[in-house]
Amino acid sequence: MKKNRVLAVVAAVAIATTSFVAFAPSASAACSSKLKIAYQGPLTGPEAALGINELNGVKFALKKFLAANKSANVDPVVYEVDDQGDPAVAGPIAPKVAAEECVVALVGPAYSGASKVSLPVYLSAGLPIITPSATNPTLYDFGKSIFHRAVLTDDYQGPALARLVTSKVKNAKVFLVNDATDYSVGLAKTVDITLAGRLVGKDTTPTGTTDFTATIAKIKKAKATAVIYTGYFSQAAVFVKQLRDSGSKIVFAAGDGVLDDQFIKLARKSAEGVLLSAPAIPMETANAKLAAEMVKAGWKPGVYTTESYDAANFFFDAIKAGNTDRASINKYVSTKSHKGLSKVLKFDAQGEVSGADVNGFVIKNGKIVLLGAIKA
Amino acid sequence: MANLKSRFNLRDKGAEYWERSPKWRRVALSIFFIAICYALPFLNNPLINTPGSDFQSVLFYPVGMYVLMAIGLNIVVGKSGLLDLGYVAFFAIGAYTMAILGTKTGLNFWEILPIGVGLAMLSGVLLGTPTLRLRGDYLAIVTLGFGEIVRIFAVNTDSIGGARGVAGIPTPPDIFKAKFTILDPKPYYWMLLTFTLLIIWMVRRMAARRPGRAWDAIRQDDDVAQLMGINTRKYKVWAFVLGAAVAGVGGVVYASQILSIVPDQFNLNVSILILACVVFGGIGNVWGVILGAVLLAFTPERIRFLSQPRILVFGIALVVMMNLRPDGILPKKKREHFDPDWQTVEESGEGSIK
Amino acid sequence: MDFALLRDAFWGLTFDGIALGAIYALISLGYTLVYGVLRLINFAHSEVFMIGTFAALVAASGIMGVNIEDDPRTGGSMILTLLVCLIVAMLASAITAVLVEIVAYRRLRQRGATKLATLISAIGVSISLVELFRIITDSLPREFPRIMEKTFLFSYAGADIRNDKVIVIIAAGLMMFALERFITKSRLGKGIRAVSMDENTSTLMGVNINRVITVTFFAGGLMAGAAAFFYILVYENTSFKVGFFLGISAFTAAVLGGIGNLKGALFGGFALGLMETWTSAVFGTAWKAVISFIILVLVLLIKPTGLFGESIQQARV
Repeated sequence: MKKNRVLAVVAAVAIATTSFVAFAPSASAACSSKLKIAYQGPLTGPEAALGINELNGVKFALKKFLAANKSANVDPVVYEVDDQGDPAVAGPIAPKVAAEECVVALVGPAYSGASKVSLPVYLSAGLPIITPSATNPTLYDFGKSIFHRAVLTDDYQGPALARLVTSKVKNAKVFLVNDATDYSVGLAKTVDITLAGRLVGKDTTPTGTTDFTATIAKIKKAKATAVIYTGYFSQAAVFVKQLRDSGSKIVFAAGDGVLDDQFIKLARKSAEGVLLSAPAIPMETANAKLAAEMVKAGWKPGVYTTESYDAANFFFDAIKAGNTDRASINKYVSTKSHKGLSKVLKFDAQGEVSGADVNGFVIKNGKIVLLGAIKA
Repeated sequence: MANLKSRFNLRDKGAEYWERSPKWRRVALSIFFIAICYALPFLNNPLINTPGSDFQSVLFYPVGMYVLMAIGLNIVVGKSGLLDLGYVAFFAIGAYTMAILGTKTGLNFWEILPIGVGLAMLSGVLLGTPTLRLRGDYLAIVTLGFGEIVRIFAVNTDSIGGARGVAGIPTPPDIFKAKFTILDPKPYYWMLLTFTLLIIWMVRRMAARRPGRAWDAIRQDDDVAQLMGINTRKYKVWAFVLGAAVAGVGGVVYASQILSIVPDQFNLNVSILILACVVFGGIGNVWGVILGAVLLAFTPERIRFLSQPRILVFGIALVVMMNLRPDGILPKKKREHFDPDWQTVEESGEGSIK
Repeated sequence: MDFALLRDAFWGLTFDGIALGAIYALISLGYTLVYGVLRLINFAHSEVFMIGTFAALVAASGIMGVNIEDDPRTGGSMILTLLVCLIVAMLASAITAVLVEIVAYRRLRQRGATKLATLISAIGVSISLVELFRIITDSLPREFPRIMEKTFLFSYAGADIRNDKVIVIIAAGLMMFALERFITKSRLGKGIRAVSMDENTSTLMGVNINRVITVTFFAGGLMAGAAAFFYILVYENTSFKVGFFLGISAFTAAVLGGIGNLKGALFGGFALGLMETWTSAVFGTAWKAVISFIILVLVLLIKPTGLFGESIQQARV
């Protein structure tokens, strides 16, 4: 018993001395080493594919920037923030990122849900962000002055997607399917409003649905001539394959969640002729040479790689112009513009990019072919 | 082997020390530990800080929240032996009550808290009354289904936000000088800790009285308990409802801190993780459960630097630990072999074939 | 609610539901076998299925040299490829199931641990396997090449009967028949039944418990592997998440029929496949899980041990 007590006292003293010595460093301290650029998005967990696409874009941009500016005081490693696309995970991480004084800019967060939790924290820490893919229209309210978005919101994409279909299919009778995710439901809503009288039916197939039999039966019964699916590529591939295998040849259209080479790999022949809309543009389409260079460097481009590449480069512009702290970098990206691969990034007072288009695409011979901007 | 194990039983050692201590020492120790808990946000120990996430936030979620929920689930699974795989449903009900009433009515946190807890309890009664006559694995699948139904319902019902969830949930009003903002998790942690201590106190009082004994009896043998004149149905529903109430508290507090919730946060994995906390730490023993919850919530944050294989390491650790210490880290005082519902004590005990 | 759709497309939906149900039934047999012998929900069984899908994929591209871009095969080459994929998937799943038993269950069982401890151990294995495959596959789904051209054999009352689904239904039926014969007629099968009735007495009678349990997991794994191959043949893709979604449905099916009861698992599988397809048509796909669970709860309230009850006498009910 006695021995135990001595041990306990020793342990308690040890813990006490190591514990209360240092308090967390204050967030405002200046960075004394190399500047860091952060990326936030899902890097593990079920949504990781999108996050990795974007992270690769940032990594590639950083590599090219450092190759061109050898003397730049920037850490060659991207500060990775893995929020798993989950607001609950983002909660404890965001303050940590904000407290890292060397992190001067952040590309992300990738998802709207995680953004809603993270942005107020970054606002208070003055950390500028450019999100390459969070398309929920309300995000400005959460991030205010530090919020910038390199893509158009769902408010633009939905109507464009609807117009893409109605311009390609005469007297289209559209069946609308969403996958019950935040993104998908929001996009479907704006598609729905634009289509108005042309809508002949709707269904919701939650993520993870493997059997679309009932939905296909509904589509056939409604005698639809086009299907618009607002979910992500992996489900879309399963869906379109089953639709084609059921003998149906009607037009299949989808939003940016499907704009990924993986979709063609998964759906193969069934992917032919699928129409896609996106405020994003694939790296291969935007600049094939750069995309090849990126693959050679060991990173696969995917959806939103181009947008995150642009976002990162805008920050590098700011650093190159001599801005080394959060406030001045924020001022730079808020006021200046950057000619990116996807579009010219020039943010308005709400942090939204203006003058950009939603692009239409069609899948032809196993390739995503740009149709051009979808006209109003 | 058996001797070795009993020598290593920390729980028994601790309990022995506690029981032999005079009252003043017990009070002093309690105050000391509670003070340490309240001071935790100010600790910056390299052993326990979290390199990839904010330590103070981690203390609130996941650590504090898992501890609270594990204590609640322990009433259901540990005390009365009912296997509940849909515990997240009550957490979701609490969180949604806070979210909806907070954004649509002028009620503040303290007014919504009892409503949220009440609704969680009510749903506990609604689910428990018809289903608690089912045994073991059947109850498990029904509760699992209930958890999924609540989530799917939230996803597909536009009037409560649908898949987008609810944003802009108000924070609790200030208490004295403690301001509740998203930037400072400390007040939330302290509030959660206070609730947790209150609940521990209540559960301990109850465990020593009639309900606790009834639960013990039901867990060890339902039929015999019934034969002895215990209204097993009533006590089972009570265990269920109390567990639901604790999760309801957790949900309300959580929603008021995170500010926006989406239905997908309330998935099956949460139920399974909380159950893992209970079993990992030492089912039935509240200190074991707390330790289990702290470890399981904290470890993935602590090893965040591992990035990719983080969850893989977590899964392997779960298997290894259960193999090494099947009764959990701090098991119940007596090595009592209870198998909720499925087997009698003798069947699963030392008498089984090796 | 769209009852008209159910009426108009009834036979088509029913046929597809039976094909889906066959896959559920095969998976739920694994749950029920293990439950019958150990009285445990094998939480890692969904991952046994998941590994089967990946094994079939590896068999097609690695062993049989099928490229994604290839045209579907015909004749003998097609049959050989299908058979090799099926056998590889079955073996891979069966071996996984046996390993799961050794890693997650054996030691705990021998120490007489609680069922909950075993449950968590199995959950740990499940989490580890899912994460392992997530890392291996870069979180991306994988596609399965089309080995057999999908054609409509004939139409009945507006239902187009497709060849791959017919094969799945017939082959699944054969598997189940073989399993039933094995359990009722073979020596090992009798051992399984003996242990499921009374473990202690079986041991006294000279049954090697460890061997029986290994065989049980192996048989359950074989069925899950077959299900995995049929799944990938019809749906032609898989991902690390596939076990989770199918596993919950199959587990529900096993409970619906009466877990521990082979006939119950079969019936439950087909019933759930049909129910999911029908209710998706009537209430929309989003609500199918809800309706399935409500039906399950109703069934359990009337018959607390499932439609067919537990085959082995559950003395304590």
